[in-house]
Amino acid sequence: MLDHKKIFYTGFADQSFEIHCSSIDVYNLASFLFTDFEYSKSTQSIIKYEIASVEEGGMLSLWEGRNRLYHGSSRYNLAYTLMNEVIFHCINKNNKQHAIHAGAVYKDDQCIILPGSSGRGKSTLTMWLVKNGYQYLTDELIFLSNAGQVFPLTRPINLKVTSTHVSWMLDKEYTGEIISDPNGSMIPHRLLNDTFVAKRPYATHVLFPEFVKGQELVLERISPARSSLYLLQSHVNARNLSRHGVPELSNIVRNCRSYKIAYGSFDDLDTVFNSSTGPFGNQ
Amino acid sequence: MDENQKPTVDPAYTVEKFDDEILLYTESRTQAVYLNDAAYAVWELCKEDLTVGEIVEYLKKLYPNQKAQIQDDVFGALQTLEENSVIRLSNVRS
Repeated sequence: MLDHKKIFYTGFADQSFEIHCSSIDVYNLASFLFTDFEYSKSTQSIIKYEIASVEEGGMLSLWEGRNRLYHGSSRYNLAYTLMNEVIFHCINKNNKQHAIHAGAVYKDDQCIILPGSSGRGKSTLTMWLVKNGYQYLTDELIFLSNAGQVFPLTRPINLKVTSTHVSWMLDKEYTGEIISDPNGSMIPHRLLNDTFVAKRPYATHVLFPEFVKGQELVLERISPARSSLYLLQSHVNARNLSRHGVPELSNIVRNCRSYKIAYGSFDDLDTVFNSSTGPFGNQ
Repeated sequence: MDENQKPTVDPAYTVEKFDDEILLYTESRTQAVYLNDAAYAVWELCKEDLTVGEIVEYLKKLYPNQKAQIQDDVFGALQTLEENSVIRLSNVRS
C-alpha cells in the first residue's frame, strides 16, 4: 500500500517513523502532531504508518502494515491513535533512559516535571503554567537521563475535554488551528506561548498534580523517598532497566524538590507559581 | 494481631535508603513499598527469626520512653509489610 505517497519523517529517542500520507491534508496533520519531534536519520529502527483519506465523506484510516489502527471521520481520534502508537514504540524497547509519564515546563533555571497517570490534571496544569510564564516542554512524556536531564516528547497539548470545559483556556479565535471533537482537543502549544525554544533542561522540581473539581488548593512538600515511590508509578519502561532504574531515579529525585498539589480551579495557582517567596519562586 | 506469629521476609526485595526513610522494591513483581524509619526497623527485625511479640519486646527495651506507642507502631508496620507481600506471617507451633 505504500506507494505514490508524500512521506513525513519523524522520530524520538532512537526510534524513527515514516508516515506515508495520501494527501497534503493528512501530511499537514502529521506535521501538526510531530513538528517538534527531533528526527535523526542515524537511528536504526524505522516504523512505517500510512494515513489514507477519502475526500468523499471525509473518511480517514490509519495503517501499520496490514494492521488497520483507525478508520472513521474523526481527525482527533486518528491523531490520538497515531500519537499513542508513536509513543508506545518510543518507549517499548528504550533501555537507555527513564521514560516517565509526565508533563514538563521550564522557566529560567527551573524545570518542573509533573508526573501522573491520565486524568490527574497534568495536561491542564501544564497548560496553565505555559499560559502563566513557563515554557512548554511536554504534557505527556519525558525521558530522563541518569543525570536528571529532561528529554521531552514535545507534542500538541492534549486535553480530553471539549472547548466548553472549565479547563479550556483559549480564546475562541484560536479554534481554527485546533483538532477537536467531543472526545478531546489537541492544541498547538505555541498558541499559549509563541516564544517556544526547544530545550533539554535538568529537572529541579517534581510536582505530582491532582485535579479534583471543587478541591481547595493544597500544596504539600514530600520527602525524596515518597517522591521516588510516586515517580515509580509513572515510570513506564522500568522493565527495560537494570534494577528497574530505581537507584538512578532515586538519585535524580534527591537533587530535586518534590511536592504534591491538589487543585480544583485555577484560583490561587498564582500564589504558588508566580510568587517570589513561594516554593517555585527564585528567591 | 497474634503475637505468637512469626514473620518471614521475601528476599526478593531490595533496599533504597534515603535519610530516614526507605524504599523497598522488587523487580519480580514490579512493586515498591515506602517505609518510615520505624517500619524499616521492624522490617530489619523480621529477618531475625523473632515472633511478633519478641519484636515488640525488643523495641520496648530499646526505646523505653516510647513503650506505650511501640506495640501499635509494630502492628501497623507488620500489617503494611504483609499487605504488600514484603513479609509472610505464620503461626509458630508451641
